[in-house]
Amino acid sequence: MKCEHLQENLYDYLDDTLSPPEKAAAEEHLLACEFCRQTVQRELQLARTLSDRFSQAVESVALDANAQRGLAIAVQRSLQTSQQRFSFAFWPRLAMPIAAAAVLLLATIWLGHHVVSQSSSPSNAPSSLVVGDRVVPIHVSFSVTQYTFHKDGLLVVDALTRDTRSADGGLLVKK
Amino acid sequence: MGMDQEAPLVADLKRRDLAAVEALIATHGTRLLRSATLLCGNETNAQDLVQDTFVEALRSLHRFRGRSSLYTWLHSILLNLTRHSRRDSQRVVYDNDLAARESSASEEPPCALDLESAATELTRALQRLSEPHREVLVLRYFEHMKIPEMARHLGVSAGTVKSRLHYAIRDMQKLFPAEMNLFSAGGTKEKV
Repeated sequence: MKCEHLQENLYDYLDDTLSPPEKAAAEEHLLACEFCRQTVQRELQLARTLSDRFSQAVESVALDANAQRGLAIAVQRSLQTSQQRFSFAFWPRLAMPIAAAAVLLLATIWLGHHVVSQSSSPSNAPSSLVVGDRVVPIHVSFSVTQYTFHKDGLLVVDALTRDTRSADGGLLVKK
Repeated sequence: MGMDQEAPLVADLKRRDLAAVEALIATHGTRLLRSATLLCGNETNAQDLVQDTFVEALRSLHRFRGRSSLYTWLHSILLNLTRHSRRDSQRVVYDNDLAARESSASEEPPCALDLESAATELTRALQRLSEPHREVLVLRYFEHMKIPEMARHLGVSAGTVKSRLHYAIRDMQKLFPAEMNLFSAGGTKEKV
């Protein structure tokens, strides 16, 4: 092993992450090379010094039992708040559109059913028609409203579409 | 605590059990706070960062696969939050005059060459390094990580970590007051 190879792999040698043959070659080189031995010693000294100084710099920084408890509560509260914020933001936004869509749907079903039953009755009318009764042609148009939504991250993307339909029929007017 | 030993704690944490959160903080809180203080330069900001780290960790606990220790995972969250926090503060507060005053103040030689001032000066010098250089020094000499672990932690190659370490130490030698004699063969002279 040459000096530059050892310098390149200095941290790997100190971390003991070299392969066994590489480690043997490094140790053999170190036995023969004073310069590289000094480099290793300098790095070891630097590591000890920096490690000690960093530890000393922050040794007074600590979380005592009260601080730990306070932090745990703050963390829990922060998590709950974010969950509540999410749920509050999500459902009220949906409640009104869902209610409106339900009312529209029921109204549409009822109206559709009513018109169909009205429009089908003239076909049966002749049997019950008496002189003086008349059938008034009517044209009914209505809208089928469709409400769709999906969640995209924290946003609710919704859309309200309307499909207009019409029906023709007759209204029996009794004398 | 080994990764196997951490599994029950992780399960309790997923249930958002307060006792488990307290146990997590008791085990890793102080070490994380110290690392955050070195990374961001002051304890007040470090406390906020550590709280945010625990909140973020619990929120994304479903992503923890146990490939690293819980502490290493927490530290990677802390590192990301510290980077964002620094960038945000740099955007909001930037005062050339203040920066110049702080710079000239920190270049004054320290009065007492005792261990405490050496540590303080070292921490101050650390804050004047670039973010990548500060990170590698803290990971190597405070967290005692090996090169492959640092590379995974930082998301860079082992070669990049070695290069950053080399330049970080060179910069520290320039920034650190010569009176401290920290990097000489004799080391720091301690006050008796």
